[in-house]
Amino acid sequence: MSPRAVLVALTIAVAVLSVADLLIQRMAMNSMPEQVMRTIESAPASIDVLAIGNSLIAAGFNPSVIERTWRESGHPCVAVNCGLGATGVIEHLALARLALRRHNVKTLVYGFFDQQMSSDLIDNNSDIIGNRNILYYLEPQLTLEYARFNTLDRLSFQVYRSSALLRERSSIWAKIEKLRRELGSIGMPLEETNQFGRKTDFGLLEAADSQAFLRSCEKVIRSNDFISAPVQALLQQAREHGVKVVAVEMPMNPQHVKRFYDQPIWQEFRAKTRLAVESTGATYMNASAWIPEEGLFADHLHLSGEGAKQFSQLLAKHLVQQPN
Amino acid sequence: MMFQVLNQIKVTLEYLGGVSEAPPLKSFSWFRGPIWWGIWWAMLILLTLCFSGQTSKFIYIDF
Repeated sequence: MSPRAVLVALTIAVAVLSVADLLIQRMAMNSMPEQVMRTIESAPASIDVLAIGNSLIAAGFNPSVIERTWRESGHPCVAVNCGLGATGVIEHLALARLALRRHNVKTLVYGFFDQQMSSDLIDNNSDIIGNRNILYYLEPQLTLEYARFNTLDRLSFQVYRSSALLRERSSIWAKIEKLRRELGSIGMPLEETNQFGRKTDFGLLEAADSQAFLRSCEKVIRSNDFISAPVQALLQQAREHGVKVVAVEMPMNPQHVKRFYDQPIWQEFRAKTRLAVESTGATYMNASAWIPEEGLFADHLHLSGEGAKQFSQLLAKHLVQQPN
Repeated sequence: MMFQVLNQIKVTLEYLGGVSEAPPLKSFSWFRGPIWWGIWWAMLILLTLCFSGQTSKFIYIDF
């Protein structure tokens, strides 16, 4: 091929990729992060209870039940669930900042599990997939500030930000993965799924065994960093806006409680995390054992619809009882 | 007939894979044009992107 032909071919390739980029951008307009951002933007000016967190909050916080329970105790209430599955502390900070900029929030419920508040930072640009891609377009400076990126990752982050094909790559992967799973399931026993994916996959998000959990706790205890920098920023900014923050240790499957939370190391970890949270003026609420029936969990981590109703009712009662 | 079809597929794949320089058929001479190559390169890049998610820590599909 002549140099001119190569140039024409390259131009055509770039044009085709640009069209694909626009199509992906259009396809991702209704992605989960976009939906959560729209939920925040369309919420009433004054929010009584705003819930932020990952899929544990998304599945477990039922705004209707919260509002009803508050009303029954004589308080009108607007509750908004901004939980976003498969996200970490930087995304939570960005979502909280979005809500605080646009609304008058009275109480912010921050749901977490295990060592999430202390060690859930991003190490590589390649980790930003799925709902985490919100980091590319919602206050990207926060990611550059808090993620543990090297120079190459910082550069990759900026490149990925500018292209929907790269930014939303996991939307394409999700479609391929769904197709792969459908083909793989032909002639096989039906796999149990819930709103987030395959039930068995969530077991992978827990510590491999009690020793691994112990080591994770010990690592944080040694470092004495019980609240990571993004969570500290979240708590500080909420305080600056006059928002009451309640850090909620989310209800866990009884098996998880027995395997991990009944260990003495977790009692120590919890006590120190509580102190760290309370030193910022926030409240620590241990709800890990509020739902002791395994049948009220959809999988290893998430509450079922009925479990969410029970948890939300209990949470609302505790919040109403708390002094302002 | 069957042999011809299989042979045609083989030479087409060989051409696309770069084994042979000549397009498989005269009617496919537009294969030599830069427009085709541009589209082909873009398609290969897109296909690579589509199938490159397997090595990630990919669990959820609620995106």
